[in-house]
Amino acid sequence: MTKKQIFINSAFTENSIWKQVLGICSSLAVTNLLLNSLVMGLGVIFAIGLASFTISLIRDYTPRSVRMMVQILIIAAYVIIVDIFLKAYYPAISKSLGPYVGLIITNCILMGRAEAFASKNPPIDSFIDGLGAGLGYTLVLLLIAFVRELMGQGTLFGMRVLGDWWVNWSIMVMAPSAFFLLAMLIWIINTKFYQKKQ
Amino acid sequence: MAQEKKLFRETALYPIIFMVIITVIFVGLLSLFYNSEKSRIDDNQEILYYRQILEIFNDKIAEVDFYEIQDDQVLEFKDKYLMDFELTSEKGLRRYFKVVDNGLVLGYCFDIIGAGLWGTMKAVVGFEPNLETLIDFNVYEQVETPGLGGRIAEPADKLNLRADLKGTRFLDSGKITNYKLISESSSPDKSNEIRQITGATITSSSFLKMLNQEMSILIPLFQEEMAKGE
Repeated sequence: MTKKQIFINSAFTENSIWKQVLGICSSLAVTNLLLNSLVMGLGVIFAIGLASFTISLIRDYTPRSVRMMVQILIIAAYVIIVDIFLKAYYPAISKSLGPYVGLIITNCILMGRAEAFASKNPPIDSFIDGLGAGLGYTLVLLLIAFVRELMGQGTLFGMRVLGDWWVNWSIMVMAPSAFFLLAMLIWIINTKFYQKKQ
Repeated sequence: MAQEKKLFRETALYPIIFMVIITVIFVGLLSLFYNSEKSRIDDNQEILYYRQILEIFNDKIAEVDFYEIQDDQVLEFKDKYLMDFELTSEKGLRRYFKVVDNGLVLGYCFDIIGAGLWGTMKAVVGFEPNLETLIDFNVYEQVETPGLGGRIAEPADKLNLRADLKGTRFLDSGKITNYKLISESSSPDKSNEIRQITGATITSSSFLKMLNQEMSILIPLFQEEMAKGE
C-alpha cells in the first residue's frame, strides 16, 4: 500500500468509529460542544501519531509477552504530554475538558492501531496510519458535535447562531442524543458506501 | 555472537529488563517535560484562582472590569483588593478573603470543597459583609462530565444555576436558605428556586449540598473570628 492509501484506509475506509465502532465512549461524552471535540480530536491525533511511530520504531526489540504494557506506557506518555501542554498553554480549554484528556489513554482506537498496524509496519507508515485514524475520529466527533451544539444550545463554537426563536433541544445536550446521531451516521455511511461495494 | 544475542532475547529476564528501560526512558522524559512547565502551570492556576475571586466582586468595584484584565494584572489587583485569612474547621483548613476597597469592606469570599459526581469540586463563594446575600460563585476545580456537569464552571450568562443563585438571600434569621432545584426549562417563581443544569442533576444538587454543608461549618467559625477581631 502507498502512503496515501494507508492514510485514506485508516481515516475513511476503515474509519475507527463508523467501520470498527471503536472509541465510542469519548465520542458520546465530549461531542456536546464543538470546541471540546476539536481539542479532544487534536489530542488524539498527536498521541496516536507519535505513539504509533514509537511503537513501530521499537517493534523488533519488544518482547511479545510485554508488548501491550509497552504500548500502554508509550500511549500514556504522549497523552500526559498533551495534558501538561494544555495546562501550561491553554488552561481554559484544559479546565473545560476536565478529565477527558487523561482518558485518551483508554481510547480503544490508540491501542487498536498500535496492535493492528504499528506493531507490524515501519515507523513512517505507522505514523501516517495513526494520523489517519486520529483524523477520522476527529471528523466523526466534529460531525456529531455540530448537530448537538447547534440543536442543543443554538451555538457553534460557543457563538450564538440561532436566534431567540430557537427552542433548545435538551435531549441534544445529554449523552443519549450522541447514541442516536452516531447510529444514524453509521447507518447512512454503511448504506451509502459499504453496502454498495458488497 | 548473534546467536548469544538471540538467546538472551529469549530468556525470561529480557522482557523485565526491556520494560524497566522503556519505563525509565519515558518516565524520565515526562519528568523533564513536567518540570520545565511546572512553574507556568502553577502560575496559571494561581492567576485563575485569584481572577475567579475578583470576578465575583466585579459589580462591587466600579473602576475595574475583572473580566477584561490581563493575566499579569491579576496578582496586582489581588494585592490591592484581597486580604487572605484561614479558618480551621473539622474538615480541614479553609481559606477566606476579605475584599476591601479603600478601607471599605465590600464582602467576603470563602473557599469551599465538596464531592461532585466524579470527584472533588472546589469553589469560591462571595457574600455581602453580613453574609446574608450571596453575591456570586466560581467553581475553580472540578472533574464533572464536560458539557454536562462540567458546565458548573461556566459564567452566569451561560449557566442558569449560577444566574439564579446570584444575589439571593443566603442567610435568613441566621439560617441558610433551603434552595430547591427546578428544571432548566422552567422559570423560577420563588427566590429559593434554582434552575438545575440539564443532564447533570447530581452535579447541580452536589454543588448546593457542598454550599450548604461547608457554609454551615464555616459561618460559626467566621463569626467567632470576627468576635475576636480577626
